[in-house]
Amino acid sequence: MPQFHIARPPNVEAAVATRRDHPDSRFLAGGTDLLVNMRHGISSPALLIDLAEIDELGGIEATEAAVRIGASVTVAALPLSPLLSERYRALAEAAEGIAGPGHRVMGTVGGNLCLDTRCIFYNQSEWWRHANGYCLKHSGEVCHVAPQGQRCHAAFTGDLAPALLVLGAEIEIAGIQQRRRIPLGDLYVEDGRAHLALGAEEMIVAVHLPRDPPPSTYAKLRARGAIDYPLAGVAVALATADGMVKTLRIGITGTNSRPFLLAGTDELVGRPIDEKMLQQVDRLVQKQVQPMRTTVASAHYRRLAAAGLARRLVCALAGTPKNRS
Amino acid sequence: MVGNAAIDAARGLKALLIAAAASKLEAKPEDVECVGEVFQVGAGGQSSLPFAEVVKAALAERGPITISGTFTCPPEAQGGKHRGGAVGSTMGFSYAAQVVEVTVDEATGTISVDKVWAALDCGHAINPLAVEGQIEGSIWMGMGQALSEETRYAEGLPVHASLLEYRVPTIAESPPIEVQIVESHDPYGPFGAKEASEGALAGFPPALVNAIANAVGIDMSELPTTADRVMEALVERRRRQRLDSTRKVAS
Repeated sequence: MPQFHIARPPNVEAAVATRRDHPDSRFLAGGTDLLVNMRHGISSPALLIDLAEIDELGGIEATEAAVRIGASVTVAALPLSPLLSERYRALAEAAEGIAGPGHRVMGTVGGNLCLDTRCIFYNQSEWWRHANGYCLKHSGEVCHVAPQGQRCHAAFTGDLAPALLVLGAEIEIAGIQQRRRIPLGDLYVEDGRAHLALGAEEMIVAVHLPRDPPPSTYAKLRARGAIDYPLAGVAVALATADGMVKTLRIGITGTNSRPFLLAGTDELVGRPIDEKMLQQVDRLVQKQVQPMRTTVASAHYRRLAAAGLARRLVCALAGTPKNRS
Repeated sequence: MVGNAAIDAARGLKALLIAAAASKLEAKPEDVECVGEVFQVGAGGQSSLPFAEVVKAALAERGPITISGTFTCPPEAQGGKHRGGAVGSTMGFSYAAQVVEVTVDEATGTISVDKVWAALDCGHAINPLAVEGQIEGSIWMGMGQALSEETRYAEGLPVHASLLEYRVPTIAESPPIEVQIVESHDPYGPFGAKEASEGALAGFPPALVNAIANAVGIDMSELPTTADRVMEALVERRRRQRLDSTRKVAS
């Protein structure tokens, strides 16, 4: 582990100012992602700005208009909230499936949203990456996944983002001058090397969710039933009226460098949930996911599995019998 | 073999302790008896020494105690002229049987192991609870080989370089395991025992592959049976079914 100093600012303004005054610093919340990368020699900031003592970043609060989740609320705390586990199922289910129990106790909402992207050529020891001439994402010039390409294809693997996307989340961001609020989808960029549209000294303060979202659910695929990052994760929010689609949103993680809302689901509004409609969902997913060889599991598999999950979750929310691919 | 060598060593150790007790008790070694944790002369208890005192006496006499025991398989058990036979590894081969029940998710290629039944003829089970634990451990190990553990390389470098990527089954994958110890008495084995380790391991991969074939009609020819390999085989099966049905229509 490289040497570093720790600062413990008492509030958001002080944290952001510290970040500005020390360019070689990083915000530290649960540390379940950052500290592992530091041990791998990927990142070695001179200063870690520990956000643990900032009250404003904590708490899950519900008003009549919205639910606010502080950025340093732990992953483990989400499914323990009766409100979230009843009305925001996708979020609670996504949280329950993250890594292992130890990680969930430490990891935070803000940390999971800002998770670094992952790739088999990147999440390796310093020795390993050195032996391979490094890669486009860190210290190198070639992307080993797509050597002809110009961009990094490392995949985003956070579980909370797709759930929050289908639930219509906005995030509150604090910077030096001002605070701003943007739809969660605008936080992400399809570039594995720079996938977060955050300024250097900006930080996520809270997530805001609208009340009364449509029923939602989340599922993911991974090599084992615990610990492993998703090969593909899908969240679906579906409201129906008389058996017809009223609202349908599908969020996907693990397949691209960013989590994203599936485009084209609006065209399915008013349609019955039948085999034809499910086939269309399947096609939309297969067309829009862009898995690359960033995991040991094949890219083709992640594409098919994401589509299979999306169909299944739509069926589950519609209450129709389980669909056989 | 190790068991018999251990017995040989234990006998040597016992003789050494009895000799130490005899000299302390001023008796002949053949008159000293070891009863549980007490060494005594004859049946009476008039002159006796507790185990710890005997060990002290032996240590005082000789310094640190090291005993080695040896065992060689009898010639008739040393194997024939077949390849590898010359090592004469063991005389007591255990027999094992295993049944694995799985659920295969055809939409995602995911396999979950619902239950495992394992029977092992380990000879005499000296410590049945330890045998049972050993069999459960073997099943986990076999499950890792069959489902998730592998070493692949990318550009000559190991991709599974840490325990995050070298995927050992977790408690989340652990199915209920029903263990049956089928006891026998092996005449050569230590106390009639054979072995209780790899016999229960080797059965898992073939039982799993057969269970998958039984569930969805695909024959997995490569381990581990990861979800992407299962999916590939399922896609291939569907393709063949389509071809067959179009041929039938054509003919």
